[in-house]
Amino acid sequence: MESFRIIGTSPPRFDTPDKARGRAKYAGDYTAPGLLHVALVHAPIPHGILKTVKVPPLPDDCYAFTAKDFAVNLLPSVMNDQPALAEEHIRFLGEPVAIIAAPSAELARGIASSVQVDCTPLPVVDDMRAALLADAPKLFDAGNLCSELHSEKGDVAAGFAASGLVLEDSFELPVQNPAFLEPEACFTRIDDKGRLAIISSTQNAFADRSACAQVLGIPEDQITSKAATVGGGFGGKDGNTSQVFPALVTWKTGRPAKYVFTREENMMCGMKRHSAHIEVKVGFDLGGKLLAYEGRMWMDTGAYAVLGPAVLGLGTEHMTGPYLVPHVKLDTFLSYTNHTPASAMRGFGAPQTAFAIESLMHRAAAALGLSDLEIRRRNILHRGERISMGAPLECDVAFEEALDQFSKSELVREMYERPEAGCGYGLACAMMSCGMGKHVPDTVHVRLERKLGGGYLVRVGLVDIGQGGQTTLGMIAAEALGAELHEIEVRLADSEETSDSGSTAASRMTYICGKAIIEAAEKLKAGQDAAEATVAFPEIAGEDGMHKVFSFIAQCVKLKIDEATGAVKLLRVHNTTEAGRIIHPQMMAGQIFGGIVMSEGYALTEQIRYRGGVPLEKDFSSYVLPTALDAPSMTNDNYDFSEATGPYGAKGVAEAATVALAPAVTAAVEQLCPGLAIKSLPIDREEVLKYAAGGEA
Amino acid sequence: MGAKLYRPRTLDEAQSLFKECCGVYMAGGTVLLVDRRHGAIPDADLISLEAIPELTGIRETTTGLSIGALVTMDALEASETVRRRAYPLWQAAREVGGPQVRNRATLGGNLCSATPSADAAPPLLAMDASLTVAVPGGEERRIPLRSFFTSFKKCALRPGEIVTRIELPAPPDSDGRFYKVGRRSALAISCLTLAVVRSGNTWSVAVGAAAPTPVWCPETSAALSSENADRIDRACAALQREIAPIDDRWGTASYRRTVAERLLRRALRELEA
Ligand SMILES: Cc1cc2nc3c(=O)[nH]c(=O)nc-3n(C[C@H](O)[C@H](O)[C@H](O)COP(=O)(O)OP(=O)(O)OC[C@H]3O[C@@H](n4cnc5c(N)ncnc54)[C@H](O)[C@@H]3O)c2cc1C
Repeated sequence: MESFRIIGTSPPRFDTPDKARGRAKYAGDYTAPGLLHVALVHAPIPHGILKTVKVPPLPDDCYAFTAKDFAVNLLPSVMNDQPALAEEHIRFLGEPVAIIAAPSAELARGIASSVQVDCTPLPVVDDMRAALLADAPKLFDAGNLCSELHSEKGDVAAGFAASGLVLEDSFELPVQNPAFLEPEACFTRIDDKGRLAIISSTQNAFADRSACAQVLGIPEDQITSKAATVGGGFGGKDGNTSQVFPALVTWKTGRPAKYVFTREENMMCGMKRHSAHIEVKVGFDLGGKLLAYEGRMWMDTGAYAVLGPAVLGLGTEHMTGPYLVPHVKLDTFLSYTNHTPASAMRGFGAPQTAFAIESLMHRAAAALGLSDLEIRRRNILHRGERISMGAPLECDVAFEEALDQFSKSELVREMYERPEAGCGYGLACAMMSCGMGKHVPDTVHVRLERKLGGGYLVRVGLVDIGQGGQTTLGMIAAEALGAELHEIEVRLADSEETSDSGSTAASRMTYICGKAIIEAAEKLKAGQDAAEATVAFPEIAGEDGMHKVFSFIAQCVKLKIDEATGAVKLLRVHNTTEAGRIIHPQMMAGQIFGGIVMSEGYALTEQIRYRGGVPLEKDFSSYVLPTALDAPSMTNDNYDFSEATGPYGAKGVAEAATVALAPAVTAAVEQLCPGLAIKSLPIDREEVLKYAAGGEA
Repeated sequence: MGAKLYRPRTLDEAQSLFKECCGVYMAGGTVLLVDRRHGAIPDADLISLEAIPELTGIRETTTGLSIGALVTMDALEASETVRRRAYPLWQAAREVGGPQVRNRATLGGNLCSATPSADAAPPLLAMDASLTVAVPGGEERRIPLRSFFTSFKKCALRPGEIVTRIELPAPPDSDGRFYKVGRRSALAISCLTLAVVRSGNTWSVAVGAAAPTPVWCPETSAALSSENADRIDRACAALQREIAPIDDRWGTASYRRTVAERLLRRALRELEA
């Protein structure tokens, strides 16, 4: 086995001292003389034709802008469907309609709230399946179908014919809000060279630059862009959130400008996890081996596509879970509705589809008299086997070994050997891809330099959004250069200092930047003073464009149900991961634990519901996130393994922990509630109460 | 926001200010300032009650406890006396909001905001607390808590009146329980609360978030205090008549009814054990 000096240790994070001392600067902390605060005027209805925007007489030094002030009123995206400001058609409640800038935030908001927006209401599209019917009101001339996927592998009819057990059901998954601590924020000013300088809370500083260049109609070289300290992203800051608004104000007025979302704006306009409706039929032989899977899924991308088509793609690709299924037929649809746009959120479509397959694996195990662990063992995917949409799994895979390790964990042994009376236990598994996948550019370009006074500088265009990316990359550089950690400086996400390397998303940063850093370090060690390396994800070379690198996890849950109230209390969660080599075990555990708590919310309390396009959950008093007191006691172990293509054997792991928890929780709840089959999230405690054993009444 | 903040040192001063500036009294501000931010109440001047000594402190009296209206949830939680003599109130204080909220939220503010889900109300109703009220002009009057809540978010205070203290009987043999059902373990708006107090064979039950105001349940209490063999079933039946829950985002009416009964039975098991 290879031995490392730094990889596999848990040194303090590079960003900790500044954060602990309150010195870290978030986008909202920036200011400059003459600052203008930005507020948005939001659409008052979910669907309609915009007639007029009446701005009251403006006080001194206040400004108002509408769609026509943008040179090109269109945000760059896959579908090219979203304006920076609504101009004719309003497609969701709260859609930005006009920009107000004023010397104070209170004044800007006050003016914004007095702007009159007149519109003619149109019938609201409130349901992702009804949206696709011929007589549905249309959000776009081409209709409400944003994208669709159809895939067939083998012969499902033959697969079902050979099956001894066929299970069928449908599942509903809710809208989830990424709910980062720091809301969307951006600061802009004109720099000393006359360029527009953007400092934002973002997952992709270079995309901010190109979005602003497009809407302002100016070349990219007149813009600089960098990420401030970012207080969480989870996918929700991958794309334009707030950036183009202060950018327009600065470009038009020459003044610095700043826009920070309120929490209500984050709830109303921020990008969400897609809700989904999934209909699945699965066939097993009597030994529990999966033979056939036929699935249909609808995802609700809301008013605009954003990254929706890619989310649909990834969800579809993960539909059959970490199992080998010979016969698969998938038909999936992405609908436009008058809801808040949904885009990337940690797991990117996989948590939705995992809920369906894992719930059915649990039921099949019960029907066939197998344990939840055993039925999964019998279906494990191995290297070279074809996943749901038919692409072969080409990375190193030790899911079987990891499951073995998982089965020996304290909690899984407790579940099978000495369960505590009155407690429910459940488990589920998942795989999660790393990298962008299907035809999305997935290349990074890094630069290493010897510093004059000694030590090294690492330049990478991605962002530390709180995950600790700066530290992991620093560790990889130190290891590769034979240097100490304190000799390494890592500069990230700045158009003046680093190169465009795409988005900090898709569990890709450590894997792909790590590889590039090692490659550049070799050149530096050969004597160069500076070296660059460009590295692409393996799927870029593959013809099918499907993901090639996957991490695997298994999670076990122990919980209690309050028999007087139906409330579910998570007591313990154990997680085993196979993510290749672990660079920083403590941060790894942090990722896993954070993912578990995020998914606890998904399973138990979080949802945004819409009635006639109006969200029922508008702030954090109605959108119920778990608190520290709700978090279970958590443990994590990693299967010690190495991925041949990864930096020192690492794969990506930022999202995996969000994929399997919900079905493990529902399995545990069902154990305590005979007869209850949970088909939607969050779990309805009133339903649970009806089934909870030994009711006290 | 052109509102002023006053910080009077006496009740007199506070009540004169109330008359002069048409301001509103503020204790911890955790209801008031949230309502203002939502535009639910006008931006009037604020008269902070924090510096008035009569409104502070937890004292043992011959019959029970006297708690200043400005005592915070934090202070109640930290008080050994409250834990020993008014256990359900101590339990309720611990479950209000989170640490930051408990650090500001006062007992007086909790009762005066008169929401159906005010967590301190059911224990104090069950214990038969009463409020000492400073009337403008220097008089004092007493209002039994059981006649204090008049309708949704309304109470029996007249303009300018200030609740100074909360007096609660606490017989030495009394014991009690408080239960709160919320959507999570902290920072939860109550979906249902229930307090049961027992002193010998005398029982008293009150419920929160199951009617337009927190309610004391006299019939339920009487049924439990009787010697009938079926006293528990009778109490459960009475309970259903004495609450009037509605459907809202935290639960349906029928869920609240089921939970109220199950919690009552749980309380009996715990207190009769
Ligand atoms: C995040 C959050 C969580 C919360 N969680 C809970 C919870 O779990 N349970 C719960 O019960 N409540 C909760 N609350 C509500 C609130 O914190 C409590 O009800 C608190 O006890 C109110 O007290 P206060 O001192 O802050 O009242 P204030 O806001 O200062 O006053 C409330 C009202 O009472 C009046 N008033 C206050 N004191 C007096 C007095 N002595 N005489 C006359 N009038 C007076 C004021 O004029 C005002 O109208 C929460 C609030 C927040 C913001």
